[in-house]
Amino acid sequence: MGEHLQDSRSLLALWLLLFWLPGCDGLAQTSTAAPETMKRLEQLIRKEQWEQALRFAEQLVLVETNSQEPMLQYWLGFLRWRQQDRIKAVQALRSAERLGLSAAFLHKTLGMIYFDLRQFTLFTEQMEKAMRADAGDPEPHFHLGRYFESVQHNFGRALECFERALRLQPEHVQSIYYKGFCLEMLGKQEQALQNYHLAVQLLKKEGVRFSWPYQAIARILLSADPEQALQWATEAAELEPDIAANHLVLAKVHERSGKLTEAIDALHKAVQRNPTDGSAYYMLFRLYKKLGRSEAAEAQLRMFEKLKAIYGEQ
Amino acid sequence: MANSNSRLKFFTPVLALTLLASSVYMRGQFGPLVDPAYTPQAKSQEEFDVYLQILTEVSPKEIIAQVEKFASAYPASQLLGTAYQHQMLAYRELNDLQGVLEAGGKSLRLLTDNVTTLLTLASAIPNTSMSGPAAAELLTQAEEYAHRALRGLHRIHVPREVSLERWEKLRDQMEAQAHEALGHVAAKQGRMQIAISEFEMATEKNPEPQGTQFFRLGLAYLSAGKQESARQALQKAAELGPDLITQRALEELQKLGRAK
Repeated sequence: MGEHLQDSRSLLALWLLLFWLPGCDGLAQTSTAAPETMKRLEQLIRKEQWEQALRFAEQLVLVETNSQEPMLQYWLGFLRWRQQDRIKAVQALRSAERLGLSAAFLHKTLGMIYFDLRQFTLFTEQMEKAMRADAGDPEPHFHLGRYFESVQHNFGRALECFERALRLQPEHVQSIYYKGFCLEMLGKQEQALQNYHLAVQLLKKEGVRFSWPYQAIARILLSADPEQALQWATEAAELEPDIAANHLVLAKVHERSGKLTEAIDALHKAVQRNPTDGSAYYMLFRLYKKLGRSEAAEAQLRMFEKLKAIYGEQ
Repeated sequence: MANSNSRLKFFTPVLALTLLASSVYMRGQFGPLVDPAYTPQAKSQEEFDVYLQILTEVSPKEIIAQVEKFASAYPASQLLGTAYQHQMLAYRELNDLQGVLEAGGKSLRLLTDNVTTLLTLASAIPNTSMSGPAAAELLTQAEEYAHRALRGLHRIHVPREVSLERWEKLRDQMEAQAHEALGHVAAKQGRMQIAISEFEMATEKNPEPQGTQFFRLGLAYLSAGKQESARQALQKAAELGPDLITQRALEELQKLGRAK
């Protein structure tokens, strides 16, 4: 679940790049600041020269007339967020809002930064504003769904949000995947599987590397069809090898097939990538015990108990 | 005893240096120990805007004033506990111990087991220059705060984003600070053996050795007549610094040298 939450941040970065850079089209035309300077800013943003763009935007905003320019404040906020300066990002975006900017993209950016700062009341408010600003945009529904799923663990409400997103954009692949995840959490495995397969089809069509549906299919097929599960789990781990959960699922599949050494290898990769996940250590304990390696087993159990005491139950 | 009294005086100027040793974990809301599921929530953007101004303000006097404004405008805010925490830290920068106690007290009433606040108060109280029954009561309170902080450190469920390594370092630093506070309280109460034991724990536990902690240990050894141990601790204090501690430690070492 924790990796799902981290994943939302990387998804946001991807989403911002895919959907918002085009939004800086005509930055020079729509703003009231000097066209050449805004064009320069636009170029830096398009080339993803984030640090230079931020420095340039910060210089621009010092000029009094520019500081009243809502789009400049918006980009300043966006660039600061990219550089992990979330507090100053909020302050710039709020300036943009107070200067009269009320577009869906502003509310979405501000909302996501509030989410990052764990201010969920304000996040929800911004997503609702984004929905009012653009009723045809699936993104606010998707992000609300992610909030209900990953923070509230309210899979029923999350499912409603993802379904609303899909009514607006039936091929919104992340919503299809998370709809599947919610269905799985609500015990509806068959329907979940259908959504995961649909997500995989769309991902292959779009050439996007997003492994979660592959992992999910492996997880569901684990008991019924370990051979198929192995193919899906392997593909997930190859697509996104940095996601610990992919290696954890692969380990479970190997264990199911009696391949304990391979399972242990996969678990070590999982703990390297997510060292605070106690469940992987517990699984290592069980597997080492099965192999008769009691010292190694004890070491893993001690680690599991240490992590449980510090981080609580998974 | 006269010697130990004059040495006890030196504990007070060390306050600012000791408290400067605090790390980034002092920044409440956005510090590493806040569980996402229990983060205090702003009810409006305006409330959060004012709160962010407190976080980004650099002048301690301004922080103090802004927190008062925030408390007046948003008396039921879930962020008020951490706002008072920032105010407490601002008073600390101004060496205003009364302010530290007041703001810290307000923060604790809202965030009862906040380890940061408990440690700040436990460290600050022994540095007051009060005397008599009121001072004795305050010292008992400081002892309680330090013990509560130690218990709290073992009960905290750390967010998973904080790595084990980072948490263990943070925890050891905070435990060291708690033991230092307990040692300081004991020294003020004249219980030098306990003071020594607590200062020893502080210096042993701290993953980033602090000159101030070794300095206090050195003075405690001196009070107990343990000159060789004092010499070693003071030498360590002089090496670690900062400058004021190095100067004080060298002065004490010189006196020790003359006393031989």
